[in-house]
Amino acid sequence: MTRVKISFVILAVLLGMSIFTGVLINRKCTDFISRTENIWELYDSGDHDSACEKARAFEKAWERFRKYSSMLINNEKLTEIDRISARVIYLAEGDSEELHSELMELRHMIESLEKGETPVIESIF
Amino acid sequence: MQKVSAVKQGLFVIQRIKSIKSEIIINRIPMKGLLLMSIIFIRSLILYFLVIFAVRLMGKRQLGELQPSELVITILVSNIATLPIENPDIPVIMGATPILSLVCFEVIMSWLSLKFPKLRKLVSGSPKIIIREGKVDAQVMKDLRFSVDDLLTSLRGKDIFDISEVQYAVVETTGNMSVMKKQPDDTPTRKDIGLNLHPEDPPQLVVSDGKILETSLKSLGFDTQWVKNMLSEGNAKLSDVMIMAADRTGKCYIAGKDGRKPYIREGNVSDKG
Repeated sequence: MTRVKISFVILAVLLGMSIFTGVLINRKCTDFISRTENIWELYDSGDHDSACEKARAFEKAWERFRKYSSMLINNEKLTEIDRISARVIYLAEGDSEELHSELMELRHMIESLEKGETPVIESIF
Repeated sequence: MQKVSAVKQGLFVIQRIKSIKSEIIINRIPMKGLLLMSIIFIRSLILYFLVIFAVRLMGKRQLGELQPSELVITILVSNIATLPIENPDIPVIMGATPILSLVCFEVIMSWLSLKFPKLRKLVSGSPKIIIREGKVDAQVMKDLRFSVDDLLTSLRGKDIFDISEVQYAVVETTGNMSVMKKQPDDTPTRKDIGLNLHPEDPPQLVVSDGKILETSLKSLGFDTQWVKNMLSEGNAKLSDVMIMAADRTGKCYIAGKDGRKPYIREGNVSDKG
């Protein structure tokens, strides 16, 4: 009977942890998506300095998130976003025309990450 | 304005070159390989202890005969455990979560199977009588996809070379076969011969690798002094004893670490204090 009780406790902990991490990742991804939109809007409005600042702030926030998310999410998914976020700063500072496409790709990667970590039929199967 | 942005670009490029250079330096010396090896080593340790814990949680049943669901879980757990070890990109929790989930489900399912016989039948199946009163049931053999060769092989595994000796043969849910021989062909017991013997308790280990096991000693009704007396009779020192087993009658077996012939003493109930 002790083993059964321990099993129930472990399952409850796992369930709690998975809900908690799912909600956390979901919120963080939503935040990162809104940051990319913010960078886009600022860049389009002509405020390139603020856009660069936001891009740097995005990278810092991403690095902080990456530290603990690498314990929960496959590293390959995160590495791709690392690469694009670093490139965004460079493109924003260089006033490059490729910035929009990179921001779109970054947003798409984060949305994929968010969907992949959410327990819906598509991601489960 | 153009000059400022050009300076900024230049500074950025210099910063990037520096970071790439440090990466090259790290990769040139085998530091990266050593770091990766240590990560894999630590992960292996973590998953080793996790798998041990999982197997212990499933219980002693798993060390013997396995039910179909238990066999599946055992294979799955061993395969899943290798994934985070082989690929450092996969978080350890991605291995730990399925292992713990599967094992916990299995334990809970086993418990529910005890409470609900229908569930037990659904998950584990039920034993099938393949030979009943000496007659082979062809329908059961067909249901189990048991060929004649399979049947004879299983019987030989039970040291039965003549099928006519079998009264009942049951194929268990684990796939093993249990056999009951016909009485004339069965090994006679002491009861059959008419020997009137007292029931015996099995001997217990009282000294293991030089250490006295107090609990076993007490359950037999002996004390440390008795152990010392036995050791002196057998010309052995406690520190040199690998195994000492005894039963309630005082019969003891002493095997030393030096590999010499074990000392065996017949029982005498008056030894008890």
